[in-house]
Amino acid sequence: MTLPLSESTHDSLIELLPWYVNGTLPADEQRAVEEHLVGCAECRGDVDALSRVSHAIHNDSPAPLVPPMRAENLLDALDEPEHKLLGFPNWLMYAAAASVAIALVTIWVNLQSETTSAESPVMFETATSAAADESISYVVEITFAAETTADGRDASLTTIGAVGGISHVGGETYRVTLTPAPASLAYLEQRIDEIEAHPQISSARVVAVQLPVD
Amino acid sequence: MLKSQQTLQDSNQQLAERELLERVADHDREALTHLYEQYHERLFRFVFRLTRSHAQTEEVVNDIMLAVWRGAGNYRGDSKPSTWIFGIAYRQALKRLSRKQLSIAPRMDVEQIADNSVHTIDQEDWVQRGLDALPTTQRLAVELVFYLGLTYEEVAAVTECPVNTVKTRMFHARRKLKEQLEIAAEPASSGDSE
Repeated sequence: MTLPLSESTHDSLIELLPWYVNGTLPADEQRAVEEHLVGCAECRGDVDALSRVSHAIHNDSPAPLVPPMRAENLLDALDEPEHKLLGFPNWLMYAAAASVAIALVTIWVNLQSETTSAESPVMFETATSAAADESISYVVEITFAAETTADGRDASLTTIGAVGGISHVGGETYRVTLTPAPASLAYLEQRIDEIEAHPQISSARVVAVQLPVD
Repeated sequence: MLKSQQTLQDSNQQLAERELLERVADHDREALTHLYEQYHERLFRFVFRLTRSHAQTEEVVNDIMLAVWRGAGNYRGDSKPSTWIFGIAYRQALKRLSRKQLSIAPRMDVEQIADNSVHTIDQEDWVQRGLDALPTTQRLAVELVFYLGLTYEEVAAVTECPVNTVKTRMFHARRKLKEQLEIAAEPASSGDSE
């Protein structure tokens, strides 16, 4: 993206300074910054500070001793099922899955006893029967990064598919309902990973699972 | 090397890496090994800056390459292969830092300090303190800009954010780091005046 030079201002040019320092600005923006620096002491101070940061990062010593590659380990890992890649044996994964399911239902029951939920009356099944149900929903508590704007937050919630059942818990934290979803631990882990990978979200955790019963 | 020669070399390298990614998408293990050879050191150094732990870094780099193996079929070629691979590295680092599976470790220990001049330690240690105090997304943006030397458009592609968000993160990071450097300069200034 190139700025029209006639509209270049201090505010727009100051945002380019990190890339002026790392030397990757397009030629016209580079020139505009250089011309601006001649008459702007604040920006010259910022360039000086950023140059020191860049210098410190590049001169970070001692450089790590990069160990030899272990391609064979990587190739061995390709043959393992995904849950083994996490480093857990099968029996532990099954035990963990059962524990998580029980814990989720327990948390949900506790939450229900603390809050009135007239909008979505639900009953509970056991974790075992839930495994066959494809239409459960997960209640996930999401905390946004502090600098996230209201628009950014709304866009993020839409991106992760949380378009309904959104409630504000406090501060930067919201509780959302993800539905419908398969009752699968692998699915749940994957969804939480995807949500946490979102740049504006600092953390996400499941606080309840809802199991509607006809 | 002339700029045109460098550009030609870069585009040849990109072509070669695109072909490797296509082969990885077809589950060609030899191609993955070649890609691993080309990226191992860069990924290791990038992740090590955040972890300061060889063991954790090895683990994260392997996770990144496994994600490349699984996701190569999703690479559509609309960014450079390196941008796509560092996008995976960024998400892995962000995920682990957010979950506190990785903690940003102190940079200097006593032994390292003994090997360096006091002036350099002061300067770099204050910068590092400032970096460590940044929110995760700002910290990673600084690393992408200054350590990897990415353009703002490349940072936007790696972080899957609009360019304006990238600029805003760097704006806030710059302000905090500048404050940190000003604090670092205060004792020296007062010392000079005495």
